[in-house]
Amino acid sequence: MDFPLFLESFGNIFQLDVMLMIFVGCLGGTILGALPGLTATMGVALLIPFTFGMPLANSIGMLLGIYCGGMYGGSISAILIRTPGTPSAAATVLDGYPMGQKGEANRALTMGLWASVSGGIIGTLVMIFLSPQISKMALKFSTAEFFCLAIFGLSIIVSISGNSIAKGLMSAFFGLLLCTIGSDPISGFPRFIFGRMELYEGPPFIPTLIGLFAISEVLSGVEKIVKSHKIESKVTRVTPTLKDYIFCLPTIIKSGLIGCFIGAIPGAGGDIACFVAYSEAKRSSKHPEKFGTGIIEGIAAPEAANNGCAGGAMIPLLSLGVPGDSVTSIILGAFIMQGLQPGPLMYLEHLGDVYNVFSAMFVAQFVVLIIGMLGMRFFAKIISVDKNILLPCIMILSLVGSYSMRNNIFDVGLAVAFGVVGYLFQKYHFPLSPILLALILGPMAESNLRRTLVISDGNPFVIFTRPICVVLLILALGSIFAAFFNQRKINRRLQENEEAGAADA
Amino acid sequence: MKTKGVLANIVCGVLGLALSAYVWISTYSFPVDKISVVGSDYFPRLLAFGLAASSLTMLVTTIVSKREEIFETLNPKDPGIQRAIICLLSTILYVALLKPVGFIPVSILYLFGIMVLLKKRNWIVMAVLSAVLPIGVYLAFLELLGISLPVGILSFILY
Repeated sequence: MDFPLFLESFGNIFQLDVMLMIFVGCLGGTILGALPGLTATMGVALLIPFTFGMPLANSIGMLLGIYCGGMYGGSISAILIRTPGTPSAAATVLDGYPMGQKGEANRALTMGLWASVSGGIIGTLVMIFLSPQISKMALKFSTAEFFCLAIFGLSIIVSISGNSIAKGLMSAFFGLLLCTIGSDPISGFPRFIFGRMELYEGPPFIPTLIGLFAISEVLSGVEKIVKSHKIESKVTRVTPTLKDYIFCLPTIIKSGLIGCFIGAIPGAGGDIACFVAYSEAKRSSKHPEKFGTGIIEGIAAPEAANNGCAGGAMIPLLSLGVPGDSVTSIILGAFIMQGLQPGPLMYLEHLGDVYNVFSAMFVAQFVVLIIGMLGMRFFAKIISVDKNILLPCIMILSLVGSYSMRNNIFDVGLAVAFGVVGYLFQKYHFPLSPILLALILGPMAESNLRRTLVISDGNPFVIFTRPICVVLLILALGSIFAAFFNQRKINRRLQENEEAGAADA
Repeated sequence: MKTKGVLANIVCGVLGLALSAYVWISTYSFPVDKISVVGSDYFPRLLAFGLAASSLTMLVTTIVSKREEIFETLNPKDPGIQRAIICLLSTILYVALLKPVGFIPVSILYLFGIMVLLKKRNWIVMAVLSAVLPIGVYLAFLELLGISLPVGILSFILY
């Protein structure tokens, strides 16, 4: 590590024009991340042409700003309107929204912001000091390891299934079956498309997400509007209380590291990291039964993980030239346009530029913090808006968000259809989060399983000969059993509380 | 209105079994892959089996369990359900008219209509919001993101 050069890179970043670009990126990323249907990936893709004529530090500053802002921004809509603005905020909904409904939106938003920034700093520090070592580990991942990683991710379904694991599994299998719609990833044969070419690539993820979470929630809100009370949420602070932050700090550190590690694996992004961190936080909590009802750790864990993932995703990009997720794949394009070829030689030939990237990422975390604190009063006000105004506005934004991905009315119709599905699922106590997790991990599971079987000539036991696979499968089994026993403990505790309540009455 | 959930869970379990049966049977129409060891039917069949197993598990636990789940009913006579149905039908109509009529006019009507459905009666706020939000969203998408929303009957103004 060349410390003088590293410190010099901060001097390059702390220029007015570069800081302005970082600020614009962070602000744009936060807004894009907060709006369902618009993602950080879209923001980076839209702004790349503007970076053509810019110096490297300026362009990278803006793009990384969008990335970091987008990762945080998703938590705002997750907490306020039960729709993750980005897939990486999907787990934040589980406790963020209930907290908002209890009038604790300010507390949830402040923890979401500070956990995001803390996780981002952890991910950036790991990226700075450990990227060569972690990239060696990431290189060992082949199809079998990716399949086992998907299985490990899917095992988390058990821990987010709520009271009924059977219903959680049914939701998950339903989600996995949705992933089989479209062309077969190996042979290209179109499955279950019912003659609609719009389904050739499978059900589009964002409209499905919007339908399941936002539209179903609007329908539910419309049904219950008379019974709902106005939620008052005053913004009294822009920082979490010291007690909350210290209480969540071990969770934040652990989740940031989980996110960074998962981000370092090419193809595994914030969407997986947030659920893994959430599940781990629930498993290690003294009160796992409170997860899902609106507790502060349930926000700290996924938010720290998804921002930690941003730093992790840069590791394979810089050290191997392999993007960690969809955003870094676009950033790879930006590097190439600037005449840089990410990879092992980049550390030898362009070390100064590498350090500029590290510094920009580090500074972007603090800019996101400032933007988040400045915007907090505005964000928290949204929840106090009259529901008979808020609900139709959310519906319009949801439908527009669904349309904007492919400029296709079919996607809007699909979102409405999934809205009905989500509404009915909730009526009959089928959790929606396993569907989301299955949609994220299903394609990864199928394509890697089939490739593994093709390579091994149909022998599935080859998985057990690979050490990383064995570790991941043991973790998956451990996660399932731990969640199962935890749930039994929770159910027993709930029953005891009910009986105690009945006896008091 | 709430109801006990034994019948509801049984229906859901049967639907799960029916879906898994449909998927399984459908996979027989997939072409056999003569080169690859595992074909297009492999994963859907695996999942159909998993869905059937979890549906059966739910059916068994529902029948055996002493604790009954309480659900809210989907009674069409319930005013809340009626509102939700009207909102859904309005949304379907919105989607159908989005391209031919255009985003701005349809959204103005939709927003106003839903606020009336939800018993909002501050007509000035409703009118202003119904106009400002769709126009604002249209301009934001067009100017900032370069995404053109359907113009429909306003093509003579917006093009």
